[in-house]
Amino acid sequence: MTDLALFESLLSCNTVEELHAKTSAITQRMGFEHFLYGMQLQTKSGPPWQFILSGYPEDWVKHYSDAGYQNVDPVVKHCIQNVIPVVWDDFVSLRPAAKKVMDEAKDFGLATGMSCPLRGFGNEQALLSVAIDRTTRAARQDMFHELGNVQLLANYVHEAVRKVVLKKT
Amino acid sequence: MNDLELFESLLNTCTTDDLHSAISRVTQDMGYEHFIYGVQVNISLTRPYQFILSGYPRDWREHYEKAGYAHIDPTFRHCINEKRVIPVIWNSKVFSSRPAARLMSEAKDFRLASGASFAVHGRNGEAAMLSLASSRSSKQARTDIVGTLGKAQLLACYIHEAIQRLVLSKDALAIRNVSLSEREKECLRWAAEGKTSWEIGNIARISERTVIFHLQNASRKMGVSNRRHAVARAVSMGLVFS
Repeated sequence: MTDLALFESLLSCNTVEELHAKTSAITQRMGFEHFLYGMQLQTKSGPPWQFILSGYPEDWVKHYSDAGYQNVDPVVKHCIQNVIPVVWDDFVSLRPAAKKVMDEAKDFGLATGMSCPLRGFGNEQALLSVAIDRTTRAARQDMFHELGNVQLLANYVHEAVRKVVLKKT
Repeated sequence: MNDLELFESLLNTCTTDDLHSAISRVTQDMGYEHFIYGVQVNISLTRPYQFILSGYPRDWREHYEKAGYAHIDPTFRHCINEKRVIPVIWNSKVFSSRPAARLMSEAKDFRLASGASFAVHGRNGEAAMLSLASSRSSKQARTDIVGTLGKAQLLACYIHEAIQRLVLSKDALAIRNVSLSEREKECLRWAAEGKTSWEIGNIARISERTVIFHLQNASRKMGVSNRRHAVARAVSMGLVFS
């Protein structure tokens, strides 16, 4: 079941901190320990502008950024090329560098997870990942159960980010 | 069956007719009698390309087109013109302007009494929307719509993915030239039956590693990034049974 009131509460956030707290609370209520929303905006000239709302373990985010994993992360690649979510376990034919990212993520507690892509007005490109640190069958089943709601949550977080960060309504 | 398995059946369809029937089944199961999916690609500013897959009453579609209702339809504006990403649940507030209110009341006469519209935006700048409608206008109908909102949004994404492959992507034609080895086909066939790599290995009397190797090669040949897509694509392209 979708709890619409919960998702709609994101739209009344006025600051990034509020948005973070609310997204964190919602994903936890859905059974996920970690989340990450990332958005990229292609600028006319120069590098793309990025905004990240991270509920991932801090040391993983730092390691990921230091190692430049964004360029080899299969989740990022999937979300750029597709409009449907990906369940991380389903990746096959990963290059060694991509596999390394996924394996290391597991070591940081991002064991079972999925990512939902989305695109918005103009050239906004975004994704929402959610993860749990268990790899049990039950954990996977719970995740599948929430698949639609996670995609919908991605859409609501994006709408809220447009309002709070991009100042668009 | 979970939502993922249900929706992945949409990716296995070979024609838009197949896709249409698959969507009808899924949406009826969700409690909606009618659906319509439309996509607009702005290849030219004056005459955008449009593709519509309609499960709406035919006479309502004709009336809507003839009256040029896309120009006053707030759900069309929300999803296609403004490219918003959150769904719109139909209510009198959404259809508040006088022409929009008339549109809504006429739709009711065609048994489109309550519903919601969902937006999907693709990687080539195309804007798509899915509307799901029910002839019921009770409070319960609204509760049902809200309760399945996540599932419906996901459905919109899967329909768009299928349309990209069946209609929008010219690349799909090139994929027909992919040739898979017998072992690759065998592994894909069992994967399509829901077997794990380990189980396939037991059936085909090869190691689990070899199964993964074959599935990886097949995925690479078809230009897809994961196992589910490889299976879906191989099945839809008729690659595994030849």
